[in-house]
Amino acid sequence: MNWLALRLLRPYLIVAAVLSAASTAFVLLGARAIGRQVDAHGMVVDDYAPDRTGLCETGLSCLPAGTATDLGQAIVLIAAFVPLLIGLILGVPLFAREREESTDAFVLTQSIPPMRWLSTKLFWALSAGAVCTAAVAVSFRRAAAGYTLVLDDVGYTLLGEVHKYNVTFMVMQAVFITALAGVLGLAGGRTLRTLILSVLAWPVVLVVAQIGGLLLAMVAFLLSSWSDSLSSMLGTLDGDETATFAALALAVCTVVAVLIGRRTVAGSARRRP
Amino acid sequence: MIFRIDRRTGTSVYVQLVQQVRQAIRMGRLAPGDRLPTAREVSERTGINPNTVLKAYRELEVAGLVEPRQGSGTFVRRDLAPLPDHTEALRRELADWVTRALAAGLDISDMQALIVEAAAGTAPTLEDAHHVD
Amino acid sequence: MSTDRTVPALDVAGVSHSFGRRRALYDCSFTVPVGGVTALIGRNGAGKSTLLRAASGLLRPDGGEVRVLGEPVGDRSLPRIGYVAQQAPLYPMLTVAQTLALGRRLNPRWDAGYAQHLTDDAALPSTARVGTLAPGHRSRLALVMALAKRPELLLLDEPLASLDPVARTEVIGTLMADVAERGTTVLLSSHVVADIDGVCDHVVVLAEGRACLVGEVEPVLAGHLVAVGAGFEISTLDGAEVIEVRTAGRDAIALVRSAGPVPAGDLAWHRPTLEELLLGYLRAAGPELKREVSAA
Repeated sequence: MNWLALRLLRPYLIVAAVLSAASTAFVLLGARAIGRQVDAHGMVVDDYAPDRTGLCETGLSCLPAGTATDLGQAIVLIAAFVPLLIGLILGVPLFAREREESTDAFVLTQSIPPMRWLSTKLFWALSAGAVCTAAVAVSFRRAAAGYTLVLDDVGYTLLGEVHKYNVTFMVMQAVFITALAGVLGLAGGRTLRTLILSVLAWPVVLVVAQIGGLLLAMVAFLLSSWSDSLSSMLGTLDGDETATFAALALAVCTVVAVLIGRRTVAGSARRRP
Repeated sequence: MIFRIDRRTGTSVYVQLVQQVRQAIRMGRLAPGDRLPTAREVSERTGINPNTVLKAYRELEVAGLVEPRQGSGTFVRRDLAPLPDHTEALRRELADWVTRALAAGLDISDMQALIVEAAAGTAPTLEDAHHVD
Repeated sequence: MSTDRTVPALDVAGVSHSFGRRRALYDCSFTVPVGGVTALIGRNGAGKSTLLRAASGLLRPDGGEVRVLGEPVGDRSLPRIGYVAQQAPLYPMLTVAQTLALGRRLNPRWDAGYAQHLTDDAALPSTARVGTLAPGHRSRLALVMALAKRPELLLLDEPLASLDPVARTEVIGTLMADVAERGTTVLLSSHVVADIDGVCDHVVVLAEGRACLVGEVEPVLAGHLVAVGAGFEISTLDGAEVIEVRTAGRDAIALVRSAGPVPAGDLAWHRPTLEELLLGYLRAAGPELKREVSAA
C-alpha cells in the first residue's frame, strides 16, 4: 500500500518539493540581499520576535523603498501562502482524483482494508506537507523574519494579524489544509470542486485557528490554576506562544478531519449513484 | 472431439452436447476407450458453463455410454448401434404420417411446426423430449 | 477449495438503497449458490451495479444485509471476492506490469503465474501504460486482476460490454475454465441476454430494484410456456399465471408460467428460449411484480 500511495502521490510530491525548494532558496537569497541593504543603512536587526512592535515605526527606521523592500514583501507573501499551496497540491488530488477516475472501486476491492488505504495515503500526504513546509518555515524564521520588521508594508501588517510566522503554525497549517482538502475530496469526489472549497476554507481556517488557539490557551490557563508559575506563564503569552496554541488548535482540527474521513470511508459511497 | 453449440435453436446446450456425443459415437468418431474432453477444456473452448458439460456427461453416464475414471477423465464405454430397432419403427410411423400430411396439403415447414408444437405440448420437459431419440 | 457448499456464495436479504430520491434497490432478496454462474439481468437503472457494489463492500446499503460466503461484507470478505466495476477502472499512469505487481502487493492469495499466463493470452503489452490501452484491453486487464486474486466469488459488472466478439469468447472461455477448475462462483450482470445464454446456470432478474425471477435456468425454462394465438383466447387463459402479453392486431403472444400440461384450444404452445423468457420478465416488470421460482 505504501508503494501505491507514494506512486500516486509522486507527481504532486515533486511539485510540492520543487515549490518548497524554490521558496526556501528565494527566502535565503532574498534575506541575504536585504541583509546587505540593512547593513548599508547601518541598521541593527535582532532576532525576530513577533510582538515587538517593530523597528519600523512611523517610517523612522524603515528601509527606503527599493529592491530590498520588494524582496521583503515577496518573502512575506511566500511565508504566508506556501503552506496553503503545499496543502492544496498534496491534499486536493489525494482522494478526489481516485473518486473521479473510479480507481477507488479498484483499490478498495483488493485485499486491503479501506481504513488502511485511507490512513496510508493520509500519512504520506500529511508527512510530505509537513516536511515541505518545514523547510520554508525554518529558513524564513532563521534568515528572513527579522528583516520583516524593518519593512514598512500595510499588507504585511494586515497579514500578520491573522497569519503567524511561526514554524509550528506554518507546518500545522499545511498539514491541516492537506487533511481538509483530502477529506473534502473523499466526500465530494470532484477535483475542481474540492480545490475551490479548500481555497474558500482557508481564511476560515485562519480565523478558526486564532479563536481555537485562544480558547485552548484559556482552557490551559484555567486548568493550570493550581500552579502559580504555570498560570502566570499562560496568562501572559507572547506572539510565538499564541501561535503555538493556534497550531495546537489546527492539530485538533486535523484529527477531527481525519476522523470524519474515516467515517466517510466506513459508510462509503452512500452519496454516489 | 469438438463440440459445436448453436444457441439459436431452441434446444438447450446440454441436450446439444449429449446429442453430439451420441452422434460422434454412432458415426465412429468416438470409439470405446476414447477420452472425452474435460469439462474445463470444453468450457474454455466453447464458453459453455462447465456445470452444463458435467450435467451432459452425467446423462451419458446414466445412459451407459461413457464412464468416468477417477482422476483421468471420462471415457467412451460402448458403441452405439447405428440405428436401434425402436427408432426404425418410429421412422416407419412417421413416414406414414408424412404421406398423410402431404395428402392434406401441408408442406415441410407446416409439418415441422406441427412436430415442434406437438413436442412442446405433449412432452413438456426437455428431458422427455430427449429420451425419445 | 475451502468453500462450504451449503452456505450460499451471496445472500442478499431485504436490501434497500436510495441515491437521494432515486430508489435503486427496494427490499431485494435472493441467494447465489456456490460453484455456479449466475447472471444478474435487468434494464439500465434496475439496480444491478448498486447490488454488485454492495456485495463488494464499496457501498453500504441503507437497509437489509448482504452476506458473502457466510460472512457479512467487510474487510474479511475482501480477499475472497474479485470485483470488476463497470468501466473497469485501473490506474492509468501505471504500466501493465506495474499493475500486476500492484496486485501482488495488495493481495495475499495473488497467483503471479496465472496472472502472467492470462496477460499473455490476452496479448496485453506489459510495458504499455494502462491509460493508453484500448477499452477492451483495459477490461481484460481488470479481469486478470480479479482472477489472479484467486477469489471464491467473482462479481463482474457488465464484463463483456467493451469487448470485441473474439475477446468476448476468449473471456467467457477463461471464466468458464476457472469455474471448472476451481469451482469459482461467478455473478455477472448484463443487459445483453444473448451474451449469457449457455454461460449461466442460474438467473436473477432485477426490475425496479427487486428480484422478480430467481432460479436455475433449466427448471425455470421448463416452468414456462409461450402461447401464440388470437388475442381473445389468450385473454381467457385461466389457471395459468400470465407473465406478459403482447398483442399485434387480433393476435397475441403470451409468456405463461405453467409447468403442467398445455391447456386445450387453438393456441399454439412453445417452450420459451432463455431470451424470450427473460425479455418477457423484463418487459412485464412493474412495481408490484414479485414472483419466485424456487431455486435448486
